[in-house]
Amino acid sequence: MTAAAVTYAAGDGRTGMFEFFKLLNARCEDHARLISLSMDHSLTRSQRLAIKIHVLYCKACRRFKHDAHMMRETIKMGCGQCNEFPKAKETSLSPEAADAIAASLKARMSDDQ
Amino acid sequence: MKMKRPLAHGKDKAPPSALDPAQWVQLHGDALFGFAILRVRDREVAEDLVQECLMGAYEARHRFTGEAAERTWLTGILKHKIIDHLRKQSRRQSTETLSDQALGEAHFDGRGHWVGRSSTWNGDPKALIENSEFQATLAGCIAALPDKLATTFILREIDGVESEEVCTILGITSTNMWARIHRARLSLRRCLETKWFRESE
Ligand SMILES: [Zn+2]
Repeated sequence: MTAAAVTYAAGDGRTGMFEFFKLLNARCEDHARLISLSMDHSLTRSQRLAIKIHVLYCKACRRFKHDAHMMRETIKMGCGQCNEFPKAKETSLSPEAADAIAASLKARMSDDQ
Repeated sequence: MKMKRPLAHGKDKAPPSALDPAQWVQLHGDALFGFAILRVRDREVAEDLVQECLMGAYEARHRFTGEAAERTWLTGILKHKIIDHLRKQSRRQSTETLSDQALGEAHFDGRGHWVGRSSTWNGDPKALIENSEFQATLAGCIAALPDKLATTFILREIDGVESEEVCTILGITSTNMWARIHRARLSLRRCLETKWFRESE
């Protein structure tokens, strides 16, 4: 685990038992941050243990952990519509831009003929 | 006995499979634009990127193998253009001007406790993603994220760019990246909670 990750997650660079006891008393906000971090980065042993214990009795963090993983899994399945800008607002090229692009393509293509 | 037909001149031959540059804007323009604007959040920039993409694709047309669909191939080129753009942009704004903390709404109270309740998320990711209404909701929620959170989250979670690479592209520290992705997750979750899970209960 990089120093930056420790600092980000625990607030200081301490590790081991001290970190563990500190984390046991950590707020949900800190646990949520750790849960997110664990999805992208390996945690220290005390951090992992602290989360495990915390989610045993904290329903809100348990749910966040579940939902965050579920969101990732769902997105990984391939959300075609996520690659298009949803309805409402700017969903298409302006006619001017479309014309301009088509014109430059056409000009470029006629160079080849 | 049949005469062998002379082969078409290699150089002038149309590229393998059917690329049809004259139709690109009409067939793919809007989809490419949507792909770009979701990631760069600026209409003009997105339009420029689509142009760069199509011009670049035209120059590279001989490299099209026909293995992927035309749209997929063009999107791949666009993706590179977008990443180049984000990289240049991060070089221009060398210092983080916006306080990252200011982005996104509050999810915790002053004592670090969760704000608001959540319903239980049930269901199988596969079934969910196959539901086009859910996809639309998810897409809407991603689009509604604050710009920086969206760009970071999309690069990492949708485009699957490695963490270190995301940091380089955006010119941010890893601490900053994790913070953004975390806040994006909190916001997305709240959005889906309100727009999907609560209603479908
Ligand atoms: Zn908690």
